[in-house]
This record gives sequence, structure tokens and C-alpha cells, in this order.
Amino acid sequence: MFELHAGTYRVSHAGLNFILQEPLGLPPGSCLYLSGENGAGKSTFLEHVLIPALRKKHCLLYLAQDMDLQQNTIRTTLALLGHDVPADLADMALAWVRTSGCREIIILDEFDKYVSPEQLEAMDLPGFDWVVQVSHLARCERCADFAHGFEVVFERLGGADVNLKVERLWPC
Amino acid sequence: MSGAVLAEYGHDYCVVDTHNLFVGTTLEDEILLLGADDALAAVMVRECAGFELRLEPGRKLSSYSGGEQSIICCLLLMNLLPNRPLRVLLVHVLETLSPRNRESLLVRFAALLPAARLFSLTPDGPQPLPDHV
Repeated sequence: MFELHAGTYRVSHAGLNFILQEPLGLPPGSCLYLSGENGAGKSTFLEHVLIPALRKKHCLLYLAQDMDLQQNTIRTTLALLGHDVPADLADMALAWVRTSGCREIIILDEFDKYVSPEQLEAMDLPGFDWVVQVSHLARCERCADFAHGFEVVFERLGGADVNLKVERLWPC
Repeated sequence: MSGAVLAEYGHDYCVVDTHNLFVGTTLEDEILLLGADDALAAVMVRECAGFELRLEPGRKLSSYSGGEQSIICCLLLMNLLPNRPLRVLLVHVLETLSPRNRESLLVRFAALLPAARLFSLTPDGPQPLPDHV
């Protein structure tokens, strides 16, 4: 079980205060969606609150929103390990996920915009214990294989405060 | 990757690629580099407010979220491009936007560049956006 306590999480350099109204508890086999308007702070929350908390106890893979820098790291890692480096970004990321050996947590920040449904399926998301996704695309049922579905809805309250509302999607 | 998209489609389309949105560091730099009137900054503040996006003078463009950067870039182009039958190719732009902002952006394209045709890059190549054809 991964738990994030209720409370206010300040990310001072971004000028945002994330107010988690109730604890976020994710049993293994959970898919978590982060949703909200552009600029609500989803990626900031991921990088400065959720990922640091997850990394204390778990192994995770993170495919960031802006792949410009990360793709160089992925390319280098694959090359150092002696693997072929696909030219296509989605194929490259797929090869990296397969190579890593980490099957605990995968975090996709708008990464699905780069991949076809077939490529996303090839990532074998159900092979992970937890999946965290930020996406503005239609949700489909890409995580239907998971036993639990949760959503954290980000709402800018004006000023620095962002309200985080936790909703259970399934099972109802 | 960005270069490849531009090389492949740059001759036939005005490419707006989320990986390659800006040349300058700030909006003011961008306006200067594009040779636009300084008054455009005030227009941009007004345009972005329609997306509940508050522009801050001198703020680095990279410090805005990915979706916000896409909105800023598209609004900048809409206010700079001539209203001709241009073909504008959006690469991973609409996918970074919430449904509300996506719709608002298409509405602004239709209002400011009614003669332009919008395309979105898909695995099968550029596809026209039905709402803007």
C-alpha cells in the first residue's frame, strides 16, 4: 500500500500549495489518474511531491511530459547496455521500459500522446503494481486490468493554492 | 525528433511542435525576435486570459506548463500569421490541452485565421481537423 497523508504540500519554488483534502491510499494493482486544467500543477505535484514520496520505498519509471532531455538519457542508457536504439521516440521508450527490469511503478506524464494504442499495449502496463497517468486524452479503458482505479482532480483556487480531490473510480 | 518533423513537413505546413515551440526565453524576447510590435504583449495578456492563463512579464516560457506553452505559442502565431489559406500542422499540441482549452483554441483559430486549414500529426501523417476544415 502506498499512502500520502492529507495535508498541505508546499512547492515554494513553483509558488504552489497542494492541499490534499483526504489521504491518498493506493493498494497494489492501482491505476491513478491526475486530471485538471492546464497549469493546475499536475506535473509539479508529480515531480516534487508524489515521486519523492514514492521513491523512498519503491522502484519507479518516469516518462516525463517533455521528452527532449529525457530521450537523450534513454538513448544513452540503451546504448551503454548494448541494446539497439530505435529512432522512434515511443519505440525507444518502450525498449527502455523493457530493459529496466523495474515493474513496481510506472508514471506517464502525457506520454500517451506519443504512442499508438498498440505501442501503449506493448508497454504492458498491467505488469506494473501501480500506474500513474497524466493525460488530456480520452481515458479509454487502458487500465481496466487493474483492480483499483483512482483519480486526483486538481483545482486551482486562485493564488498559490491548489485543491486536490481524491475520487475512487473503480470498484465502485 | 523535432528537427525530423520540421524537415519532413516544414515545406508544406506551418509546423507547431510541442517540442520546438519557442526561440526566445521570454515572451518579450519572442516578440522581439519575431519582429512583431511591442503592443502584441498586451494582446497576448488579453488572449491568454481567455484561457485563464495569467502571463507574467519577464517570466521564462519554459516555466509555464506544457499545455500553457502550447496555448501561448498558438495564440502568438494566430496574431502574427496573415489570414491566408495556410496549412497549420499541430504536432502533439491538442493532446496537451484540457478539453475546454482544446475547444477554445480551435475557436480562436477559426476567428483569427479563418482561411487557414488545421492539421494534426497522427501515425498516418497529417490529418485535417474536421472542426476547422
